[in-house]
Amino acid sequence: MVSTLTTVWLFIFLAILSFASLYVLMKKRSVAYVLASYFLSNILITNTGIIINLNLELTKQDPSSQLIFWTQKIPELSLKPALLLWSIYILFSKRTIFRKLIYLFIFQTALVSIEIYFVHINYLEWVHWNIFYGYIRYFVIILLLAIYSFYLEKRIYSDKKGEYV
Amino acid sequence: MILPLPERFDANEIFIIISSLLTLVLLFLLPRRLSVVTIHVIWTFNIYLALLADITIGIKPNDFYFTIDHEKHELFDIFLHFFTYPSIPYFVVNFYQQYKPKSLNLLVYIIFCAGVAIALEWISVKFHVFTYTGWKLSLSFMVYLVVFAANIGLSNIIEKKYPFK
Repeated sequence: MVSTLTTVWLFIFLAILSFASLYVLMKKRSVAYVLASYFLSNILITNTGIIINLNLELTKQDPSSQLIFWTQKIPELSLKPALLLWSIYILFSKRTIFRKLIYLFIFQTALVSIEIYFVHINYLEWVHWNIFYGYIRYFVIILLLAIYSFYLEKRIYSDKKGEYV
Repeated sequence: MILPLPERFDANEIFIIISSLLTLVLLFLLPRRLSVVTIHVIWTFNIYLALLADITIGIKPNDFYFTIDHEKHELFDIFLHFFTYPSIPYFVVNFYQQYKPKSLNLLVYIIFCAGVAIALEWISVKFHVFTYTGWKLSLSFMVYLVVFAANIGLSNIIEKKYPFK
């Protein structure tokens, strides 16, 4: 069984990579776009997470120690939003639809895998939840984020051009 | 239920409705000094911060406070996160961008705003919007100082790129 400390270090390493990747994304897009999308992705992850866990009781978690608690929070605030933002970047890129779908599937699998890992190390329990529901959850988040990003990108573009919408 | 309705429709719900309506009216009445892009970033940033507080210090194992009637994520929590919380930093940043206080004046301005926010939080505690189970108003004051300073810094970065016209 993987120790808690190893898991924490693993997610800290992935968090550093995630934030570095977001910095790269800022160069490709804009600071405002990445910041607003990062905040919204966190809002969507947290809200859906609370609804699934606390309100609908489809999953169960009872962090007994601060270490376990923060092990779950680190990827929620870094890796998951980074994967979502890169998904949106791929979605609006000039790749073919087939390639976009493959990339989106890989990113979604990575997102769901984080939860599978937590279930595997007994930090999270799936009561009435499964992998398929996990995919649906992230599909909905990506969809909402894509709508918001599309609107925000338009705003940023029009602000830069000096238009006033 | 996905988002439970209040157990009892009482003081805290009325407080949230009235304060949200009041801030919305003020939002449209007071002159705006922020670009739409800055508003997006500031608004999502503060929803993110409010949720971050709720999912870190507002739940187990920390459990320093809870909002409204119970520990579930209620419909009125959404109002609180999406309308009530972000409006105060919005006004703080809006007035800052209008008058641009510098050095000592800026410090006095941030302390004054934190004082106003504390007064509003004290009222909301009286209306049982927040129930402290280990949290203190003095701690909130320190948090507000940091949050308002971060908001002002963030607005300066975004306004430099996407200025209000």
